[in-house]
Amino acid sequence: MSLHYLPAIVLIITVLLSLTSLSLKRHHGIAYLICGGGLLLTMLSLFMQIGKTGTTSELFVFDAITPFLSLILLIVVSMIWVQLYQWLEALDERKEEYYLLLLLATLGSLIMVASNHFTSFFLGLELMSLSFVGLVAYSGREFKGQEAGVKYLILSAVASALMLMGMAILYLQYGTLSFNDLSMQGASGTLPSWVTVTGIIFILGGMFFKLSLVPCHLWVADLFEGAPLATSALLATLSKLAAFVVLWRIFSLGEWHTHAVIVDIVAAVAIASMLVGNFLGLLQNNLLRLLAYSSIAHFGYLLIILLLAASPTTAFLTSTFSTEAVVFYLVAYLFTLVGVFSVLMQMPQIKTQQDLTGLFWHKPTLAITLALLMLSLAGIPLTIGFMGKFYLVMTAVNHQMWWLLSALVIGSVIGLFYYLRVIMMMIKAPDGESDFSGLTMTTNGQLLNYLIIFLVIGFGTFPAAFSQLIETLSRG
Amino acid sequence: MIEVLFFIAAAVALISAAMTVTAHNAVHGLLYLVVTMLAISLIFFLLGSPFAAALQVIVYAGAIMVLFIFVTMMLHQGEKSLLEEKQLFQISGSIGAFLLSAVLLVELVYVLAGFASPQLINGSEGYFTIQTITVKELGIQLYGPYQLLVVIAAMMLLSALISAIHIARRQKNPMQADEEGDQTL
Repeated sequence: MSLHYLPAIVLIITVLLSLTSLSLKRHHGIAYLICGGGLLLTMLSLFMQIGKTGTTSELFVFDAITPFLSLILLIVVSMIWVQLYQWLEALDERKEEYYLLLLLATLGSLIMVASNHFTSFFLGLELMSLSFVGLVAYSGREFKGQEAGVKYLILSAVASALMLMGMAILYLQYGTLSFNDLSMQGASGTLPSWVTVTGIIFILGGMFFKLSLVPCHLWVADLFEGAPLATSALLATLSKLAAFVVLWRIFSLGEWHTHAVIVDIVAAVAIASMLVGNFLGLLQNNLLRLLAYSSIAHFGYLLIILLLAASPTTAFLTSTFSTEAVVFYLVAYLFTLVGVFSVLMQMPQIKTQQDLTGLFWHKPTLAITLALLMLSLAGIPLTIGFMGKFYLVMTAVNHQMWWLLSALVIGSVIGLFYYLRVIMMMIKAPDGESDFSGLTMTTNGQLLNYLIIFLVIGFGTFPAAFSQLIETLSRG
Repeated sequence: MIEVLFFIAAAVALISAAMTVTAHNAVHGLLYLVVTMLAISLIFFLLGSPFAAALQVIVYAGAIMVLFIFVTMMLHQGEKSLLEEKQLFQISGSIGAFLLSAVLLVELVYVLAGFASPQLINGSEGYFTIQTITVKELGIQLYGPYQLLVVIAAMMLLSALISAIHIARRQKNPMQADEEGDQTL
């Protein structure tokens, strides 16, 4: 066992420790601290690996990017963990299991990000989905949460079944389940190429479910609304990031862009996701549904990257540029989104845009943080979201994908409308109806708000340091 | 010869799966599901994996199905279900499942009696033999290159267990709390 397995081992030990202490004595504080300590140690062990030489085993790959992405995941989970104590205290429910399921979901996503084999990918995916079922249905007496849990269980089972079918077909073609062997064109040589394409379509179908892209996006709004807030935050960040990283790895290793049908399908799904996601968000009043629709659009933008390998690299751009674009965009989107959710977790009674009326005049810090995050989601300059989009557009322009680019521009303009509407609501003069007296600011929350502002504006204004780090990592 | 047996077993699996989905009565649907599992198990056996076949029968057709049927029969759905239960054990409702499993039994006897050698398959490039996968080889794989998968699978089962227990133990619905209150009064 090399050092590379250490983060996962630390997480497993944390889970077992937490389970043991739970069975001896239930205590919310202890569970919170064990979970936090485990996350911290995992981050430390991941931090040690950045910049080290990687290895590849049969099941897992540890290149330069993997520990970095895992570290980003852990940072996101920790930012949610910071606020979890207060949030769970308000919940009429047993508290300790939430930490267990959170840790297990994190473990699943780490496995997925590092997977190099269909079996490790699938087991990681199932570990994450099964934990998410528990996390989604974690809402005490609320009927909506249970409904969302059932929906998620059934849909993730359907998605898994589709993916298993796809894997079986690819196994039939290649005779191996390792990602490395996917590039061998038809090892068995007896099956026509449409069989491979069918298998790829099955896998893509399952992935589109996980990423909530357009033909399979119907569940995401109900789920974001029905699930507890912290779970929605995890679902929007952890699950989608892990699924996208795996999809990206399979896509580039298997050279799927050589199949014209697959390229057409992905392009159509990307354009549809951008437009449909933004149009659905346009007049949405519920903040969580709005975030769900915006996440559909954002992953539509990101799908462009998958197709980039299809065109030859130009002299202007290095071959690793699309890697950099993916990583930068993912990081920018994740930090922004986790920021939005942590602001929402600080004001649990606010559900719709009307509830936000006049927030700026009562709680300026919260309102300014939320406004900046909305600008970052829309992609306004001087925020980290702008830099992410800048990378994306730059790569797309260089590969001359005009159709996708025009859809991206149109989608962004539509999106701007509803992001700005949220800000408008907050700076409206208070009408006296909205009551913010129940909002108590904690030191944790305040510190987190300042951290979020620092990340979003700091990396947005001075992206050079960050993009250089990513550049050296993707070269390494 | 073995391909014909395979196609018959696959057809049985498909038919019974379709019957499972369309069955009106839940218990009849489960009966057809058992037949599906048995057919899949026979396919495993024909393709040279007797251990997977045995597991399929023991775990799916045996343990899990029995649990399903227990739970379905214990869930009382009112007077109507009582009436339905009277008709449950009539032979007309389950004759299809019996016929399908009889087909599977005939196939199994046919293979075991040695009429068709299960090792020989007619492929597109002539006959070739199937390698039988033994339990030993499987164990070596699981404790060798795939040992981490066993750990991950264990964590997966743990997470499923925690989720299931957590969802199942919640009895604090306001409606149910009222009912309990009424009973104690």
